[in-house]
Order: sequence, then structure tokens, then C-alpha cells
Amino acid sequence: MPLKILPEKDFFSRREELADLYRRALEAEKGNAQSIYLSGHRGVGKTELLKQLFNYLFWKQDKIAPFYYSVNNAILSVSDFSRDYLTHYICQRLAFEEKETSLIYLNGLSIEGLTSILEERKTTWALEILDRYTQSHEPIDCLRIALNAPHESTLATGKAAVLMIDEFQRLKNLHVEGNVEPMLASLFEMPLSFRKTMHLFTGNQTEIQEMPITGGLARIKLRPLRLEDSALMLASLLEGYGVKIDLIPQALLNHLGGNPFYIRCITRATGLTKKSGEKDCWGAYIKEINSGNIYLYWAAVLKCFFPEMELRRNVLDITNKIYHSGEALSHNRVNRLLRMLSPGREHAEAMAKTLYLSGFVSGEFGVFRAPRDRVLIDFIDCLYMKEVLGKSYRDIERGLLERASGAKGRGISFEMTIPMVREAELVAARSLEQIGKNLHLNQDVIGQLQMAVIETCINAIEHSKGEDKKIYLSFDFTEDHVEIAVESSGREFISQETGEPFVGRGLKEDAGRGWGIKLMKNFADSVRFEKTERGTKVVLVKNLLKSANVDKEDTASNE
Amino acid sequence: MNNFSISVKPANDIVVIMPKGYVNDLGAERLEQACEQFLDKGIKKVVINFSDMQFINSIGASIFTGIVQKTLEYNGQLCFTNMRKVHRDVFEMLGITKHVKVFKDERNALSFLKGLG
Repeated sequence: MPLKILPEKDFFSRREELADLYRRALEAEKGNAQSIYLSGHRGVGKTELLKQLFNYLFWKQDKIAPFYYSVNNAILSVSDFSRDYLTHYICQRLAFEEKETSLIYLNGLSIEGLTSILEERKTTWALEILDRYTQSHEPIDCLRIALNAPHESTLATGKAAVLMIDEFQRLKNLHVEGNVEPMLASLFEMPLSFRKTMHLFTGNQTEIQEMPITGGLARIKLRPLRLEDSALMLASLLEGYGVKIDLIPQALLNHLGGNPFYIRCITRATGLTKKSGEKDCWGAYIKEINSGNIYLYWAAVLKCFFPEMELRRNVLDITNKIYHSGEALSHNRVNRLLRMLSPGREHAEAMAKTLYLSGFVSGEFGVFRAPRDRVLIDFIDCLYMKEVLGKSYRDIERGLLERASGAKGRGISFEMTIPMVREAELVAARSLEQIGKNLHLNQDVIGQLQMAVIETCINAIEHSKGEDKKIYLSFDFTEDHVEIAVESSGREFISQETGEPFVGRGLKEDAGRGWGIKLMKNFADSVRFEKTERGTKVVLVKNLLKSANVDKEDTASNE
Repeated sequence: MNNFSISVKPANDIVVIMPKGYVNDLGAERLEQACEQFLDKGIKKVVINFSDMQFINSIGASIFTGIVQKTLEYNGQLCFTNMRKVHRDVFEMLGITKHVKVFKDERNALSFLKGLG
């Protein structure tokens, strides 16, 4: 394999995404390709997907040259970056044309070294680019030449290219003689617009979203794995350790949120113990966030974004407050809290922004919330308990196990996916009826939930913007409450700032659709609107103990 | 649309309409048309028996305001019967039940309407 990738059996649930990217890449040959920004949370598998695509393009066809480049923090002076980018591009191009994979790994190759390789092979187009590069003495000109090299090679050879750039956000730290020039990344704008050299870049999405480059690109969001795929992944990876799993730890998998990186870490930790009971899996999880690979990963992110040691404690303090406040905190409130921890307005502003950019909190529009990533929340909580409160590992373990047992609940869950077609909401409503019968729930309560679910599904259908024409439903029942989540690619009808639906913008005001949200709120005890990886999630919560006291009379009274 | 059907029982100056299945926008419009047909013919006493209505959505429910208005325009009397509590709650939220007579069952509604003369 040209790039080291996961074996096919361990590359879970990404076949569709890979096929889609491959199809889009093939458009480059016709000059129809649009550059893409591949977004998605940390650990969701963006890098692996790019590498898989590279290998696919490398072996499965010979018309489009693939290029994979991961921006390195150590190579960010404009001169170093230009040279590195250019030499890697030319080497990978040669490797592709001659199917000579060793050329891909020629790291640290000097311009002279590359020139002699090219002369030996009589690669005129590349020699011409290199010649211009060596003649140029201005770092910015060198950068332009390097970034335009793929386009020039396409013009010279007629062969299109697909350029995959990983950790793209690091380019905001490009510097000339030590002076950081964040705008230099915008030199990519021109290469990104060429239709025969499709660029596909990815990296830390919060940072990339703040870069002046994403306009005019197609954005593809890589979603977390579905629960059933997470379960398959866990079982298959454990098998690699010679461990057979009898009962999939559903609550833990839910907790991991379909993140392949987390699943892989937990599997490794569990596999090494050679035990696969649910308690063993949770034990492995707790070790992972305390001292394992998940800990190392997030600790590295923390240290990278907050290199000053004295700031890290403040980060733990403020994130802990945001995570457990139970509500979104305004920008001003977070700033006030930060100034209490460390005086200085500018300092507080900068820290709040870094907290968001690092992904430790959500806050794109100045309203700060806990992220959706429950593993990250646990990591911060553990660190806070350990470093700030001085608690022992045993205390931390006990606290997490208690929380885990809460996550396991005493209830029962159902999941279903329905297509966005007319009257699909009835499938959800009828399923709910059957679940209600099985669990001997009050029929009035089921009727109310059916109404709310019907309205929620209709909203999802009306506001769907993505290509994924599906609605994902989960029904979680415990002794005292039911929680129904309806998730879809629709995003438009939720306000970024408040998480509440728009009134009169996303909703049709005619024909009574404005009543949909009112009905949901009337028939559920609480309705939450959340932004998710997929798009939007509406969560309906009904308190069954409260509902048990409702009037059971089923029909209207006689007049 | 397979999830909705309608049956009608005219009897002298009263008509009983029974929606069946899922009353969404299309279903409610058919119901509205059926009511209008009878009102146009001079049958002003309308009973809607909901015993076979399984589901209704907000658009469907809001179209009932049109049915109510039309009945009022014709000086007619609209009665609802055999309603599940959840559906009655929906109509109450939309303010529809203020303008109709709600009865436990069809028999009670018919005896009320016959008493009107």
C-alpha cells in the first residue's frame, strides 16, 4: 500500500463516503471537480478516509494523480513549507505514474536530490517547475510556485490531480522569518478554484471554519459511526485480540458517540486484558481517559492550545463550570469568569476564543456550551478532579463508574431509521404505539408522544437540507421517563445562538405549520433542539410519573 | 394516499362524516370538501365521528378551522364525537372546540341535533 491504512475489514461504515469522494475525484478528469472541505469532529476518521482515497486513486485508475500531504507544525516557515510541499508533490506524482511506491516516502529530499531523480527520468515538466522555484528568491513567490505546481503539471501532462491536505488549519501559522502571516493560507484560493486539480482538505474543524478560505467549497461532513457499526467495529477489533464479546456494551458505545478513535482505544485497552464483559469495557474506558491513549490525545491538545502551564488550571476551572452549569453561558459571562480567574480583558477574550478553537467548548457565535463529546467531558472532569481537587484515582474511578451505571440506566431503547418520504412519520408513530403496548404505558401518554413525534418528523422532512434523506429516531424508556430523539440533516430551523427554532423563517407560517412546535411543546414535558454531527436533533422528554396522574378518561364527556 | 379514507352517512337533514386513518393536509382537505358539499345542498347539521381517526397532524387540525368557519357561514351546527383525549386537546389548543359541540358518541350528537328541529 502506498500509504499505511487500515485493512479493509477494519475500515467500518465508510464505504459510501469513500465511494462518494472517489466519484467526485473522477470528475477532475473532465474538468468538473469542485474542491472540498471535509469536516467532522476529532477522531471521526477524516485522515483515514483521505488515506483510503489516496490508495484507491493510486491503484484503481491511472488518469488522476493523487497527492496526500499532512501539514507539519515543524515545517511552517514559508520557505520550508514551499520546498516540502513541492518535493512531496513531485515525488508522489512520479510514484503514481510509475507505480513506484518507494518514491512516496522520500522525506527530506533536497532540491538537488530531486533534480537528479527528475533528470534521470527525463521529467521535463517537473524540472521546469523546479528550475523556476530555484530561480525565485522571494519566499512568497516560492510558495505560489509550490501551490500552483499541481495545476502546471496538469497543464503540461493533461493528467488531472486530486490533492488531499490534512491538518490544513496549521497553515494559519505560516510565517516569514518568524512573523506569522495567517492570511498566507488564502494563497490557496486560486489553486482551489481549478477544476482539474481538485483539493480536498481537512483538519480541526473549529479552526478551519475561522480561516479565510472555505468560501466556494463543497463541504462534506463526516458523521460519527452508527451504533450498529460501532458495535461491529468493537466486536471485530476485539476478535483481533483473540477476545470474543458476548454482550455488546450498548451504553458505553452510546457514550463513545460513534467516534472510531475512541472505539479503537477502548478496544485496545479491553483486548489487552483479554476480558470483554461490560464492566471490563467500562474499566478500560476509565483507564483510557485517566492515563491511556485518549488521555494522551486530549492532554496533547490541551498543551498545544494552552502552552503556558499556569493557564491550564484556569482551563480546567472554566470548562468545568461551562460543562456543569446546565445552560449555555453568554460570552460576557464567560469573560467575567475568566477575568476572575486571571485578570485582564484581552487575556480573557483570547482565552475564550482558544477554548472554542481547541474544541473544549462549543461557542462559534459567542454562546458557550459543553461539547457533544461525552468522552472529552469525562477527560476534563477527571483532570479537574485529579489536578484541581486533588482526588485519588480510586475516587475518580468510583465517580465515573457511578455515572456509567447511570448511563446504563434501567430502561430499554429502540432505534429506527426512516426515509424522508411522505407519511413516513406514521411508521414512527405506529412503532411508538407498539412499544407503548409492550411496556404497558398509559395510552394517553402514548397518544401525546405520537402527536409530538409526528410533528417532529414532519419538521425534519420540511427542513432537511442535506443529501442524507433519512430521519434517525431513538426511543429511550426508563421507569420514570421517556426520551425520544429525532435527528436529521436539517439545520436551518435552529438558531445558532439560542438553540431554539426560528419563528417565521424556517417554518411555514401558513397552513398551521407554526403549530407544530407548539404541539410538540404541549405534549412533551420538555423539548430540546440540538445541533449535531448529522444536522439537527430534536429531543422530546416525557415524565412518565407525572403523566401517570393524568386524567385517563379517553373520550369527551357527554354534554 | 392509502392512510386516509372517509365515509359519509346522510340521514334527512343530518350528515355523519367519519374520517378514517391519518388526517394530514390532504385528508383534512377531503373532509372539508365533503362538508362543503353537504352544506351547499342545504344539510346544515354535520356530525364528525372521530372513532376511526388514528392520527392527525397540525396542518390537518388547522384545516378544521376552515370547516368551522364554513359551517358558521351557513348557520349550520357542527358536532364532534368519539374523540380521543389527545385529539380533543389538539382541537382545544387551536380554539376549534369553542365553536363546535363535542359529544361522547354519535347517538348523543344525533339526539341533540334532532332536538334542534
